[in-house]
Amino acid sequence: MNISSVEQLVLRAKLHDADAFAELIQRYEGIALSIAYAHTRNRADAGDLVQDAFLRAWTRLDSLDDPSRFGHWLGRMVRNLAIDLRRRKRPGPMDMSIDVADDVDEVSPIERREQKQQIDRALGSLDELSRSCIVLRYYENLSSKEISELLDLSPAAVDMRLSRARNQLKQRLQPVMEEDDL
Amino acid sequence: MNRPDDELDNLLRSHLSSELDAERGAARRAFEQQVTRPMQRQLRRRSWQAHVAQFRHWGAIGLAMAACMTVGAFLPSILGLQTRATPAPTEVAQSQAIGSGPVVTPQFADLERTTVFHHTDAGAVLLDGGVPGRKVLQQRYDTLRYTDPSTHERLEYVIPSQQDLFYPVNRQ
Repeated sequence: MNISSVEQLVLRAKLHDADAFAELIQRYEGIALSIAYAHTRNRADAGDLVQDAFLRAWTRLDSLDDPSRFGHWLGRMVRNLAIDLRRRKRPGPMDMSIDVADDVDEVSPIERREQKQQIDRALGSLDELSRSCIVLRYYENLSSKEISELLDLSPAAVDMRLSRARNQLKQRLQPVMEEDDL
Repeated sequence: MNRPDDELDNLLRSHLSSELDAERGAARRAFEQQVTRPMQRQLRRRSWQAHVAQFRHWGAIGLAMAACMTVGAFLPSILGLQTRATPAPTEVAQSQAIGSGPVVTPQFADLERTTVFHHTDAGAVLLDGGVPGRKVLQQRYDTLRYTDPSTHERLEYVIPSQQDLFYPVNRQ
């Protein structure tokens, strides 16, 4: 990611350049979605939360002192909104919807739903910070250094969390992976 | 990386992708709907208001000039003064020959000159080197007025000009 151009976009956005901010949304939407999903574990809530976070970021850009820390600043905003949402919302059933396009292969909808539930449960067994590391790594392909900057951790701490989380997920998802092999 | 690791990676990637890909683009659409489009509408409205204001401004100047010229033309007759018809070249030659009066020529010392500036903030811009700044539209009106001492006719010329000025914004 080109840091200097992100800084320029932030400076332009601070001067109320909406196009520059739209470009920032384009660049950071995946990261924001990853953090939101890691906290809410519900894609619809994550989507709504990211929209709110960007609108809030637009109105509060003046409080961002260092433009190069936009990602970190946005990530913190997403986490705070997720905490607010959790306080407001009582825990309900997880999003079990299945995309129609998912059902075109040989796996039946029931099997797919079971598989999805198992992965959801496995991800749910992780703590929020480790889950954030996993989602940012596997959905956004971020390096440990990039994840560490977003989550206020050291790169070594990110590596450690990723390693432990992967071992935990491997154990929990062993049956799913074996089913896939059959 | 061994096979179970690859399988886990693929499983997680495809799961997260199927979950989150559908949500991509929604934030930008929401932003455009709630911020960009209202801003564009506001800008268009401001532009139209600026056009109307400019039309009013120039219309007022034109009306003022026309009024000055009309008053200048009719002032002598209103005040009961006798206007002198413009003499034919032969008459001028004769009058000069007999020395009946001087030919009046405009004196530049009678010129009155005023300059008026209007400044309009034209929004935020990025200057060279990415420095944030503001663009200011400077409109300048140089007005020259001349009153003919013999006929009291007034002439007024307005010379409008404009230029863009750029100022860095000091955010410290």
